[in-house]
Amino acid sequence: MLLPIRDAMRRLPSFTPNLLSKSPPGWNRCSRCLIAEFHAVARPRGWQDQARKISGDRKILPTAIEMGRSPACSLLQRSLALGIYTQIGSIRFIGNPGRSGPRNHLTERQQFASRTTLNYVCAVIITVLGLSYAAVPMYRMFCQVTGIGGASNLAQHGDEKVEALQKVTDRALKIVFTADTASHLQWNFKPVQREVTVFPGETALAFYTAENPTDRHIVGISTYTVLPFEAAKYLNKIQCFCFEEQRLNPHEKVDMPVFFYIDPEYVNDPWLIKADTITLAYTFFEAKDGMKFLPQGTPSPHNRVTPSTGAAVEPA
Amino acid sequence: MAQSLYGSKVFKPKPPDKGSFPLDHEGECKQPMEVYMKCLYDHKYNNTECRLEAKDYLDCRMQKELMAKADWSKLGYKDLDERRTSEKEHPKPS
Repeated sequence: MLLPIRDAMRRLPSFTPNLLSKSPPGWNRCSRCLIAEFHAVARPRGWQDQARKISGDRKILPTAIEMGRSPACSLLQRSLALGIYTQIGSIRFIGNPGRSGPRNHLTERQQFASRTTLNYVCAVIITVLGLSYAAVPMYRMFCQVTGIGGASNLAQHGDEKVEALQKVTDRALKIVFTADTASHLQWNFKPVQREVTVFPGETALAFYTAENPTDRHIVGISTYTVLPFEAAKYLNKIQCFCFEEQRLNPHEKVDMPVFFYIDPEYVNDPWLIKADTITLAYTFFEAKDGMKFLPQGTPSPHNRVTPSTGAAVEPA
Repeated sequence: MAQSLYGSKVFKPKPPDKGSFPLDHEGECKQPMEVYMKCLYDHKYNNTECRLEAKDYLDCRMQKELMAKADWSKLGYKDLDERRTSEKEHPKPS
C-alpha cells in the first residue's frame, strides 16, 4: 500500500524554470494548451513558489487547481482515464508558450519607474500651463516697470521727440484730408486743401473749415481716423481740434488747423513699404452733455470737461 | 493706433500732444492762413516749400493768444529759427 505512494513521492516534480524545451519531471505539458500539470499524490509543499519560478513572470491562474477539473485538455483526460495517478491539480499559465521571461507582468521596480515618469510628465505639463497663465500679469508688470511695450521706439513723444526730429528726404508721403459730419449736425465742414505732400520727420500744417449756417449755437465734437491702419501710430498730432467741444456761433465760419508730423520710423515699417498715401478723415458730431471721446483725465490745456465728474463746464 | 481684436482691426485715436487749438472766432489769423494756402496752391501742395508761411501762421496764433507760446524748436521749426537768427546776425547784402 505504501509502495506506490512512495514511488509517487519519488516522482515529485523538480521544478525547472524553463518550460520551453521539456517539461520538468513530473510535469506534463499539454501541447495544445497552456496547462502544465503535475501529477503527484499530494501537492508538494511550497508548490506555489515553485510554480511561480516556473512561470517566470507570467501570471498564474489558480482556477484549475482542483481535482481533475482542468478545462478540456486531452492530456488530463487521458490521465484521468488511465487512472494512473490522481491528478492533483494543474496550473495554468497564461501567455505565449513560446516565450519565456516577463511579458505582461511588470516587476515592482518597473512599476515604480513608470509611475515616477508619469508624475514627472504631469508636473511638467502643469508647470507649463501655469506659466502661460502667469505670463499675462507678469508681462503687464514688466511693461509698467521698464516702459517697453507695444511700439517701444515711439515710447518717447512730446516736445523732446519733436525737437529731435530728423527729416527723411527720400520718401515723400501724400496726406489726403477728408471731412465728414454726422447726419444731425448742420455744419458745413470741409478741408481747405485736399492733400499735402510731406516728408516724415517734418511738421506740417493743414486746415479745415467749418461753417454754421443755422441761427442757433451748435456745439460739435470731432474724432478722426487714419487709413491705412498701420500708419495710424506714426501720425502724431501736435495740436488739432479734435476731441474737444467746439462751439460755433450762428452764421459763423472758422478755420481749424491741424499741426502734425509723421514719425520718421514710418520708413522702417515693413507693412508700409508700399503705402505712400495716408488718409486723415475727420468726423464732426453734435456734442451732447457728457459726451467725450477721450478717457477721463487726459491732460489738455483747453479741456473743458472736468475729469472727475465728466460734466461739461461752461467757460466763464 | 490699431490693435487687432479677433482679426478685425480696432482704431484707437490718440489725443494730440498739446491739446486742442482754440477756435479763431474773430478770424484774427485769417490773413496768414490765406498766405499759407496760396503758397501751398502755388507749390503743388508741397509742405516743404511753405514751412515759413506755416511758421508765420503759428506765430500769429501765439501773438493773438490763440495758442500757447512755445519754442520753435519744440514745434519742429528749429532750422527756420536758426536761419532767421543767423540772418539777423549776418544780414545778407541785398
